[in-house]
Amino acid sequence: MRRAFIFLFTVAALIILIGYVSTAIPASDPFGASSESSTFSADGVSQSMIARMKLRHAMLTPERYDVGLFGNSRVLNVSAQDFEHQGCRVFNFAVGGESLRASAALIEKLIDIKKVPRVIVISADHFELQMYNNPFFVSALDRLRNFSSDLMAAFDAGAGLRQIATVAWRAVWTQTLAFQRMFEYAFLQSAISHMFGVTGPGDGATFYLADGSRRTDENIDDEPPLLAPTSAQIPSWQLRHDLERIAAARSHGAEAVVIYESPLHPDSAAYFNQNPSTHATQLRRTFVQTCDDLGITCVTGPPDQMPTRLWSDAAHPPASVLGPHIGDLIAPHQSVCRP
Amino acid sequence: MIFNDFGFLFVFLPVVFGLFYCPGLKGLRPYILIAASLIFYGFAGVEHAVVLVLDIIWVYVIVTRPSFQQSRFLLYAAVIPPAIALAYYKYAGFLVASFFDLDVPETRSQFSLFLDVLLPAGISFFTFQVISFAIDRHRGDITELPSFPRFATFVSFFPQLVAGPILRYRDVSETLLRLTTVTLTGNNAARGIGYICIGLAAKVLLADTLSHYLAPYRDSPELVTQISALYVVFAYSFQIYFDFYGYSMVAIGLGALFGFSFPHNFNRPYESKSPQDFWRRWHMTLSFWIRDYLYIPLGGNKAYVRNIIIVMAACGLWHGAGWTFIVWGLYHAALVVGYHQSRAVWDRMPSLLQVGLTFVLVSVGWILFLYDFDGVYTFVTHAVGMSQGTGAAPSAEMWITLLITGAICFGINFERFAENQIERGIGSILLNVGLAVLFVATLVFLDRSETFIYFRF
Repeated sequence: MRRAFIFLFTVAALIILIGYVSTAIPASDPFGASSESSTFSADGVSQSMIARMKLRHAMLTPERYDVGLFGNSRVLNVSAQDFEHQGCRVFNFAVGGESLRASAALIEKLIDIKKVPRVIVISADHFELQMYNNPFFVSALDRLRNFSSDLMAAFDAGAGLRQIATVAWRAVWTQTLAFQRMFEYAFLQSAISHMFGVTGPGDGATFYLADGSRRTDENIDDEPPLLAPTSAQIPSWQLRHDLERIAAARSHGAEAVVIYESPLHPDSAAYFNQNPSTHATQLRRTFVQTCDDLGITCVTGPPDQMPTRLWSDAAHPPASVLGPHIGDLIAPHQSVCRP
Repeated sequence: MIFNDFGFLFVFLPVVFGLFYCPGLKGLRPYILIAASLIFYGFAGVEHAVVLVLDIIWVYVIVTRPSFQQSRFLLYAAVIPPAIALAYYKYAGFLVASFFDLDVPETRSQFSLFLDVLLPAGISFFTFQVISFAIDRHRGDITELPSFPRFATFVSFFPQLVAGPILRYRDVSETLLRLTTVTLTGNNAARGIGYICIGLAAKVLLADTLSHYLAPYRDSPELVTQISALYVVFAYSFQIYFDFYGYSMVAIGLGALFGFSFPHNFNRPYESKSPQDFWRRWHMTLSFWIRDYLYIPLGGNKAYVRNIIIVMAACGLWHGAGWTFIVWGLYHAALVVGYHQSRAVWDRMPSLLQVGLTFVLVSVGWILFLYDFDGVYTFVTHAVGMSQGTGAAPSAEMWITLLITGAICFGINFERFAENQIERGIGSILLNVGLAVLFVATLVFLDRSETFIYFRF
């Protein structure tokens, strides 16, 4: 068995090494550029790396931000230049591919480093999308912590065995995928390059601005197909639990928390306004009720008369359309901005 | 499910391995392996697993009849239904398409029962296995019948289920009979690790890299130029070799982890000195199956040319339901017969020339695996300069990869390392550390890895 143990020991050591290397991010802070229009290429940089880079940027920035945007790819392209910010210092903390659960996790991290933005604006996926995956950018230990916190919330809410099993399965699934992603060649190569301070110019297809927002070449489809109806994926108690995690920011320096339901393309929105699913309706009710209970602002449904042009698909509003909507949501809280 | 998948390597295999060697479950080992194999196979489609299960039950019920060894009728009753299932799933669509114009919607709908059929993965492999079992029992080569769970384990055992090696019952009977007392020895563990690591590396690092480079030429033969034709012939030759060889190595390694000793499927086939020698070294378990159950019953060497043509055409057809596969089989028949006729001259050539010529002839034949007839025509006309390809020439990186792969193929005896039998000293440490590095390197490239080519056979 000696040979098998040598093999297994070496494999374990190499996997730990890869796990360590895969978390490597560029030594310099690309978001720390003096000019808001400065950019850096994100080719070969995973969304988990981006999340960690944004957190490190918040940590390195002496003053916490006035306004922080949170969410996923639906808000990631919104830059401070897309809305009236009246001199507020704005940073986009959104991470592509993640859900409201990641925003909650990111805010908890910002609480830990005492850099919670004064105004938190969160894009929550439209409830007809039923997207609610666990965050990938956090460590395995944090994932375990989140899992136990989910279990406690499930027991408190009297959730059934099936829902608890689903939570457990999703935790295992996320951990499995996170493990698998550690080995993705492109990201590993990029991480190794970062470790040695080598960062290629990339092909420029995707790049980030200094305010955390992303610019990418997207295919515009002004008439995307209607979104297909989904099955229920989000337990109400889990949504309530995450809203409570987010609302905790109020007692750690956040003066306002605004969560809006991300708009859909007007055609899809019109369809779901006419044919709302039971689960989305119920979740929306939980959303509004919980926000009222917690004293945070929650906005449901898309703003009226959204333009139909420049959508890349039915669930990703163009920054030029979303920006003014976010500007309207921030407007009542702009007094918190420091001159 | 496939071997080159995270789910298989980090979930399925450890769970099955753990259950198999769990002290309290020794008596259930055949059932654990059967359940695991059905789950493994069922991932491709539950209906496929039904075909496998029916084959197993049918053959076992017939073969265990007391008068089976005396009754030719029972032998036919045992082997014909699995053969019909194979014919239906694999060849019915091909036959219909050969004789009817399927562009006519009415004709197509008339034969939809034969055309819209999903081929169960590895059906050619397990059908040959149950047929060989029935024939061996009828001939009296199998004296002690296994219990049903052990027979089901023999046919369905997941390492060899989808792409071989094609097992004979005698290859594994001893282990099957003492399955509940098998212990994991240090040698078997080391052997399992060696074969799995080297097999995965052959598939993922060599075959898949070549496949990546070949993709544009494979998808669009009109891109092939004279120089890239040369590249395609040899790169595909190495790709198919390392793809299938890699699978067989992993299968042998997995077998070793569960106490089985599977037969080898390859014996450095590209170092063969003649086309005849090639078929003694390439996919050996298929060659021997065809020899024992087709070639010899046909009369063997008594009608050499006729029988070679029949068995090689059948061998081609076994690989795939298509005329290109039959032509490929006939091409090899021509090579073997040609060698037989010119043996006096061929055998006097220098060894290097014999090996080189065999390798080139075999490699050219693989083109029939790569393209359909239109593609082959386009490829050949471009290769001989009758028309011009529109694609770019292979890059220096592609040529270097091909040369490295060739050097590895001809220069390294993988089995020596895969056996992993150096028990002590620095050599043992270096080898196992090297295997671990190879395994982890394979993991890094696993996300771009493709399905094994032989899965479709």
